[in-house]
Amino acid sequence: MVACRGICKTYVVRERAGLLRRGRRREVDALRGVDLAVGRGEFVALLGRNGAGKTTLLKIVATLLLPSSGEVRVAGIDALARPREARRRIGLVLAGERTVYWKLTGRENLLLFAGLYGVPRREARARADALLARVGLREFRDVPAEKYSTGMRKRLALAKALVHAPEVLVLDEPTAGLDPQGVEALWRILRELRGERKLTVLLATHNMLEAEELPDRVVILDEGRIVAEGTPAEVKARAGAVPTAALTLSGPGPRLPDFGPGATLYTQDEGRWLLVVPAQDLPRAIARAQAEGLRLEGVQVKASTLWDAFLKLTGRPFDDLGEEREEA
Amino acid sequence: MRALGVLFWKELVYFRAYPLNLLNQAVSPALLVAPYLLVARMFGFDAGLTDSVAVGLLLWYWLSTLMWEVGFGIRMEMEEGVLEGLLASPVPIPVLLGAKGLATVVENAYLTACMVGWFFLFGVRLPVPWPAFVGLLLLSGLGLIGFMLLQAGLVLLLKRADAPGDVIQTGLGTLAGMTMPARLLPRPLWALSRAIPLAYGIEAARGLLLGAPVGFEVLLLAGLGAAYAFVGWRALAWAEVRMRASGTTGEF
Repeated sequence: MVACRGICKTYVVRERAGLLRRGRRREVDALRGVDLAVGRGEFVALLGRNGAGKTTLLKIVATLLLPSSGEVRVAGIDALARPREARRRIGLVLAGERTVYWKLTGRENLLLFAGLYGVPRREARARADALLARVGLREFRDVPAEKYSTGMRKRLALAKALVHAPEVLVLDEPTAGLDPQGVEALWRILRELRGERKLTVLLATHNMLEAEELPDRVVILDEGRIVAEGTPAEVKARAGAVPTAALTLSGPGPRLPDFGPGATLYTQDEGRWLLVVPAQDLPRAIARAQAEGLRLEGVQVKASTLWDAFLKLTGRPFDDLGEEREEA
Repeated sequence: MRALGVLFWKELVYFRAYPLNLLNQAVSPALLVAPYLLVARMFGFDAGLTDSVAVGLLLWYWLSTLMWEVGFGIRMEMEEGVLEGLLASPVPIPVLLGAKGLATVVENAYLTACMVGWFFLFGVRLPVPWPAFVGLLLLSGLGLIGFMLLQAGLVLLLKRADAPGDVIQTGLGTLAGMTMPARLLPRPLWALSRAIPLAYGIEAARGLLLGAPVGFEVLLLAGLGAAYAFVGWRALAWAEVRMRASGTTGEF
């Protein structure tokens, strides 16, 4: 349904060297040869840190931006050669709140955008009412969007993207800035859409929980390249993100090599240590610690998360946690 | 047509959302016309010249509002944050501008009525054949399409393009003979004015005032206007591609 091949995007940025002096002209590679295929009815999440290229990729798929090179097809249509045809098949939810006309009511916004996509008037009214009910805005349909809360506006933006019954829904961080109830409300709608399997969804997020909860497949972008893709479980396995056990030990310094590969030792206070090992090695680690005369003060087992996999694949900004660290 | 219709309706809703604009538009023509008409009266110009100045002002005010609302109208969408939503829809930018143009015609009808009212208060009778004059106003608006598209292109690229826009508008108005007949301009400027469709619109309006035939001016206005519209349309399309390539669709 969505196929990107060899997408590259380079932005030209002009630095400012002062009030009157122009600075250096810099080229920033936002995307470096991205290949992505999303099947009909599939729900794919693009995961990446800020500046990884997620929004750029979404905007290129939505024909809002032109790539520096590469090919994009949406529903079999060459989106670069025939953008208007491709746009009819795409519903787009952009990041931010100001994506609807604030002076128009929720219903007026939907009728306006339905009209832009050529939905006949009577059908547009029926769709607008059904969508407003679906996103929980029926009671507020005749209230100007400027009076809505952030969560209501986000739900309205989603309804707006669906009003012309697109085949592909493109969402850029739809839950950013929402409270947990707001996030849950939006997720409920997205889960329903996923369950219907009529719509292909491409979602950009850096919310790990969202990426673990919603999609069929996760694509991790880093510095403009895809570094991993698969189901959340596959990505975790590929990144080597396994459940871990953290042992708090006291006594003489443990001999790290004895605890096997994958063990990491953090020095805490004087005579106290934090030993992190893969959870499957926990019994062996406890036995080894006792053999070395160390006292076990506590054990904490942590399930592997997409968060861990993501940090392993894209690197963590602060690696040492402010402590001394050794790896086996 | 459906897209044009809903966008036109949206413009009217926004117009209604700021009711004080109506008051401003009723009063500001008086501030604009008063100096010209008072100077004309102070120096004892005859009624014919005063009428001529009044017609030029009426036409220019009508057209500059149109140019401003259409040429810079896209800034409202930028600042509202909905421009990207519109750019991601299948509707071309000229349709959006067309809707703004239609809404401005409605706005201008009100403005013109207010202005004629002020003229009446200043003792200017404006003995023009009104149906023909209104037709000429609309045709002159069409003659400016190319410049409006060019302004909109500048806005897409530069975002705050008021300065070049003002130069275009003021330059056009002066050269076209807004406040004085173009034949009074120095020769090189007069020659330049011959390339501006609006100049023929203003000359035709003054011709109507004198009861003179205006067919030739109307023909030139339509022909030159169409040529500029084509150039403006191409310039806007180029600007849109540049904006999409440079990734500034969300900037303002």
